[in-house]
Amino acid sequence: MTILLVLVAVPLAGAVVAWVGERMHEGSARWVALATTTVQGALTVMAMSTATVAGPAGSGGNGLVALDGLSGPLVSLTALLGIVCVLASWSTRRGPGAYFGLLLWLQAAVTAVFLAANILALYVAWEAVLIPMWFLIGVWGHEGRRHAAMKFFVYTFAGSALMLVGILVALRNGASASLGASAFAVASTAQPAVFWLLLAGLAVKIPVWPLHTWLPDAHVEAPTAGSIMLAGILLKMGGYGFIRVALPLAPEAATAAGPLLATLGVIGIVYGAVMALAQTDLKRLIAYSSVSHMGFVVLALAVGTPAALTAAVLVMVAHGVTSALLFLLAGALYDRTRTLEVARLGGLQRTIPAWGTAFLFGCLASLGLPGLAGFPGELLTFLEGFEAYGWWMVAVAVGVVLAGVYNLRAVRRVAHGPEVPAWKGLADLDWRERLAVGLLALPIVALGVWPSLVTSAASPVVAALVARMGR
Amino acid sequence: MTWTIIAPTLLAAAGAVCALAFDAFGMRRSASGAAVAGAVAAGAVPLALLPSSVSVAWVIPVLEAAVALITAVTLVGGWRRSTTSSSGPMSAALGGLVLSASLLVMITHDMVLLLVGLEAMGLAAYGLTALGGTAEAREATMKYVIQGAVATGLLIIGVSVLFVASGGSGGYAQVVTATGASPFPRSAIALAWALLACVLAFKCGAFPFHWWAPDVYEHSSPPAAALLASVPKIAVVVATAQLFVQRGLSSTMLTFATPVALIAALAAGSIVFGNLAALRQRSMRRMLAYSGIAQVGYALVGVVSRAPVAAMLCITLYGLAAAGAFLSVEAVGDGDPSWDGRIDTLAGLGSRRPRLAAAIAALMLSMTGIPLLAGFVGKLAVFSAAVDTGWTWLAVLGVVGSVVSFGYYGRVLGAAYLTGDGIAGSKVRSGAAEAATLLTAIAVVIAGMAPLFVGGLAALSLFAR
Amino acid sequence: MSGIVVACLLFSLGLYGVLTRREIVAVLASIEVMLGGATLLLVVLSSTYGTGAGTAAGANTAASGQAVALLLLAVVAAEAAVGLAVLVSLVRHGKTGVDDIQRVRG
Repeated sequence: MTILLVLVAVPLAGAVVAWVGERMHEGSARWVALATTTVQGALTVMAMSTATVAGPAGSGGNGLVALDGLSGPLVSLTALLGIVCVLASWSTRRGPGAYFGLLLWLQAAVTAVFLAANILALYVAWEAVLIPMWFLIGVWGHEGRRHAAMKFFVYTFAGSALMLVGILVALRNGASASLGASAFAVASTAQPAVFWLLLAGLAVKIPVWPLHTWLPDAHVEAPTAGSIMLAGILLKMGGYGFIRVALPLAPEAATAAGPLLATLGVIGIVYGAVMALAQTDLKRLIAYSSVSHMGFVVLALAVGTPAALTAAVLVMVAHGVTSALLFLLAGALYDRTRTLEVARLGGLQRTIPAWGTAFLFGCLASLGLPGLAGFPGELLTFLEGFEAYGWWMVAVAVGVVLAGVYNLRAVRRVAHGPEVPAWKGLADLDWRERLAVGLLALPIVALGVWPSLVTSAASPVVAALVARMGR
Repeated sequence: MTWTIIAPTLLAAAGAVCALAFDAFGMRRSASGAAVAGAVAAGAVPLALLPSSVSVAWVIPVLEAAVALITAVTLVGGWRRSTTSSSGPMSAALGGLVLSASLLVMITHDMVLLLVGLEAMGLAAYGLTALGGTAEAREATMKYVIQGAVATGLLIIGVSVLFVASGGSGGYAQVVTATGASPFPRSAIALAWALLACVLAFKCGAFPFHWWAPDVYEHSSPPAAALLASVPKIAVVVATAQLFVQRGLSSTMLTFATPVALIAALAAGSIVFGNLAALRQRSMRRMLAYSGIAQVGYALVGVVSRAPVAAMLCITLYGLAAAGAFLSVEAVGDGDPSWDGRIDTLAGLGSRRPRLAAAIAALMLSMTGIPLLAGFVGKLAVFSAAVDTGWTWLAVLGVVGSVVSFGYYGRVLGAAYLTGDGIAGSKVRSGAAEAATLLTAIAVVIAGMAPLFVGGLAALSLFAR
Repeated sequence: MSGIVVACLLFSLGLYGVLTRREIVAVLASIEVMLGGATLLLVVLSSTYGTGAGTAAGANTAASGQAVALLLLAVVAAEAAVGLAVLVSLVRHGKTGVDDIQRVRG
């Protein structure tokens, strides 16, 4: 349906208008961007309500785009984070026309990834995400931005280039280029090659330990909106690609790789948590917590049962909003204090109470407090993992405990404790930041209390997928 | 019928001759204009004579038009030089001759004409290099001449053997089918084919016959380098593809070192060597020269995979971007005559000259192989053909090479956008080079996005064979 | 057969000259010898083997071979002319030896 193509076209058009508008009238770019992302949000709601839940068949425009229960939550997340990013970057001084243009281009490209119904279109959109992200990190980032941008690009490009070869091998071995209902597995002999090549690209994106090393640098050096998009939605492309592309094309290879992937996932959970414990920079702490959370996704993907895959989607969406909130708050703090060193912060609950409360809320969501977004997905992952792998899940439990430790410790050090005189007169969150926080807090609570918002959409699709794979 | 095939060559040559005539009277602008007009006419004729429905017969005329367009753009890009310096019109005329010879190489199906075309192309190229003006240019030309002459000798030997073996006709098809029944021993035939492959590799600058390329591209004037780095490469790869990918040229015919294995080795070597060498370059033109070696390697992968159209597409789209890249060197020099040609000193180009920097970004990303730009289309065609015919390792090598290539193409982007603002440049001497660069960048973007809209990505299956 | 030997000999002599001579003029002359040998090879091959099996009906290979050889003479002459022209411009700056043109790498 054309509304899906419109979903990709609107941010692109907005990008051009924002860039041109800024040259004609200063300060107009951010308003154009806000309008565009709001329109995008409304259109997404419309599209979600009309999309069929069972599968993408027949809902595509010339077979290029499709929306179903698997991509729906992620597309909605993209639209939401678009609005949040614009609000977060409101005060960008430097080249706002180009900045908002690139941000909207990024949103269009990510939306295109999730909406793609053709495997080559997915690849094109996947790569199209690289360019705006590279510019955002490289031009508007912090001190180490050049190195972080280059590392990000090379890692991601290397992975996705191998992914392309995997796609070509799959096409050679009889896979059809269209994703979704008509995707069939390739011949068993070709499956390992296809799976591992595809995984190269996906593993860098998710990221799977040990291919995660680009993530802390990229997250830390990126500007606030960049970090939000990166952690909130770009990482989810990897998990989505796994369920949408790798699993249907190479199910036997995926099953065979299960134990290995599960091990890497668990290592990721624990490693990310331990590294987060050791961080002195707030943003780097949040970055490593992202590695840890995505470890849950890897574990869930490795288990591979329909429930586990649904859990993966749940964790992805939950982490999307949670990390977005945390990076938003970190960015807001950096704008005020120009530092994120935990040692130099303290007593912020009294100085900027709204920020402090929001930060506490975000950390509680991150550690997986029942009632908030993180809990259902992590619990489901844990249960599915236990059924598949038994007592190895103790390590996961350790990871969860560590998550509690580093999150609460961050809150204690930053928000509580004695007030630091340097931050006495800080301004609290203003209306747009509060709006952004609210926009994120709502889903966090909603998903925690009502996970079927996502699961009711995702699990039929996932179940159909697994059934077709004959598992 | 024959006239329409040969018309582009003649028109380009006519343009060059008119340019020389105008130059004799000192009318420099008319001379350059004549050369451009000749190139445009040479490109228009094949397009005007296209058959009505899209088919494989469209490929060569479209490529001819593309090559002519590239030549016209480089001539325009060099307008300042050709109208202000005394040797300028001569460069324009030689450019027209390079185009004429290249078109001949592309359309011919006869080995003798191939030889004549290659030689004419080489001679015009020698002249263009020498007109770079500096002492290094003369030295580079001398070395190029000597190496080229050795290549010519080997080419004559190879062609002689195959010419006689095919019973005196020399046509591509006859050469392939008749060599089985020739009076020569199979080893002689195999050697002749190998010689031919090596000489063609020399002419397009593949490893390990690439020695002339970095010096020639670095020391000729940037517009001349833009022409030399694109059009001859395209022509030679097209000729290679047409010669080596025919029915009947299978490994059962030749005793040892089949051409396919040899070309595969050349392709792999070019990809590896070109990328690694380009990483170490600090000068922009040398970097582009070494990266061109790798790009020829990618195109040769198409030849190995028995997908001539894919190979031709890949090299043409690269040639377009390469011409633009060299023209951008001229454009940067126009705005800042003290620029030393190094990549690092491009710092701050993004803020000083945003349009030019954006064009350079598009060209660099296209050569890296990022989707939505032309280079990706070519590489997709070649690599999918490779995977389809069992040369998956070459596709992996090519893909890895593309990733490595971001190491140096990205350095240009990083210098332009990520490093601090440079000093504001003085007034730009001439906008011609910048306009030409922008034109190629736009063409690259359009060519990259076109498959998404026109016929979808499935249209690439047409090009994969 | 002896013709082929002579042609190959000429070619080898020329190639040897190109690789070893120190004066550019000598290198250019060796190039001429080399290319002459190659052309001679064409003529000899076409006249010796032109009437064997596989010849196209009605084609006179020897004649075509010699015609091509004449064409090649023109090509070789053009190459020599260009080479000498570049040499002249080099000599104007005092460089006559192969060692003098080593400023350019590779």
